[in-house]
Amino acid sequence: MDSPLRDALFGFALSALPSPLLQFGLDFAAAAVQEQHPSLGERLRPFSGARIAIDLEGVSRSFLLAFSERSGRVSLCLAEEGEKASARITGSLSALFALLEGNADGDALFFARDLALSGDTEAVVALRNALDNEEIDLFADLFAALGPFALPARAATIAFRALSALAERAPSFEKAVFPRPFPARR
Amino acid sequence: MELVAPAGTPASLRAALAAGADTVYLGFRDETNARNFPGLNFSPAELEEGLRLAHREGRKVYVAVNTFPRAGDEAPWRRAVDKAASLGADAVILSDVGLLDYASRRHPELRLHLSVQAAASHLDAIRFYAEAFGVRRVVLPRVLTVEEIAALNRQVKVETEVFAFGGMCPMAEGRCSLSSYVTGHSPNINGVCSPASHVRYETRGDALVSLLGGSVINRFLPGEAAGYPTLCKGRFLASGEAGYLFEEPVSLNAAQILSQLKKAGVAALKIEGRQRGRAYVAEVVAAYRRLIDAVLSDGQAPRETVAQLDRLAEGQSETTGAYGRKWR
Repeated sequence: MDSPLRDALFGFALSALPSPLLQFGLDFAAAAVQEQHPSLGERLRPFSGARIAIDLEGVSRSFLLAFSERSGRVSLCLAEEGEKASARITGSLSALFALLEGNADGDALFFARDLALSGDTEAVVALRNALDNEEIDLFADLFAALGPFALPARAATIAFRALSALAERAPSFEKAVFPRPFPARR
Repeated sequence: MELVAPAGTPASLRAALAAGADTVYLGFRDETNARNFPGLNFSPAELEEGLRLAHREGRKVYVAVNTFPRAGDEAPWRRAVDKAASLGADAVILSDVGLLDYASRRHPELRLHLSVQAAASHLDAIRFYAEAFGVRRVVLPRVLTVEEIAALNRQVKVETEVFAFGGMCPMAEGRCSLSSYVTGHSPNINGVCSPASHVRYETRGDALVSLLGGSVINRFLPGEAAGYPTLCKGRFLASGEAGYLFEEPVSLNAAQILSQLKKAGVAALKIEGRQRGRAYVAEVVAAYRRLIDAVLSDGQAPRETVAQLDRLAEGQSETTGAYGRKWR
């Protein structure tokens, strides 16, 4: 789903939340997705040890996706200044969400120059293919991980999606609520 | 005309079936097929599940075992054929004469299709494969005009399948060594042209530069649509001018000539792109489902359906390739 409001909210959170709180959220999201998609690591196993940096347009922090050789799991964390990565992906939040949830084709995003990559192309291609197979719905995965809080969270998301649809029809609404660029917190 | 859709993952297979594909083609997760990309393809268990899903809906699954076995090491390719046969694949798509011979003797009930990788582009070659191995369908190389396809179909007894949409090999497939020269890995044996392990992208100034095996092969300015990092679509300096010598970054789209292909006697239309995401598979297959249904009923391709595929194309540009012009 293309959602300017969702992108604005996430962009704000990724830029403005204090690092420990944001890292908690990233750990929770990575664990939630892998809980729902245990086979994700299987397609990535040959590339364990790879570290892929993610730069989001309009977000001044960088993130690091690492495939652990030891646990076979994927971790997502805030990248330190100058931290080394084997590959780098750059794109908008909406392009990255679309890629994560399989709503856009990675090659088409690359042809359109909406997505750029550098470094270890093989690890990035493997990640793209592994994610594409998983049919990830980020919100659904997060709800599933919330246990007893899933129901109120789902209700909040239905309201949020309705608001998103409204914001999509009136883009100035989103801009007024979340002016960019977001300030970075360290 | 049968619509044959690509699937690089089980999710793409499901997307293809949901979008209206008659058939899905796929490969095992190794070098026995020509899309041996990282993180792509099917395990035997995933193929088994895919076959179950497809057959439940009355659709088919073809398994591509279409690279050429290494000298003295044909066992992985034979195992792939055996596995496809034992799981109940509707056909295997093969290129190598040795493997065709093995499959025809070992699995006489298994339907054999000749891969585009065999580059069988004329009557004698097609007759040979049909008579020697019982090949039932030939996937024609992308070097023939519609008239040449029609002439072939008047003379051969086997079915012909042609590419309708997707990445274009401008070379004679199965015989191209451009990528091998630069990377040391053969598309025809290792199953991947321009392997990702040898591809790098860099930003130089304001340009996106693509490198293959350490050599710069293209440079895209801001706002210019990018293409695959293949040598056949590299930009070369000749006579002091940079340009595309072989082919521009462009995808095949035969949407406008479907009625001609139907009249030419083509049995099946193939969508290229097992390496693409399920969003591509869903969109292209759904568009071609509408196009084929329209052509089969009144001969008119819906204009808006043709236009919507532009942004999925390599270089965001499309061509009818050799169908409309003599191969150079």
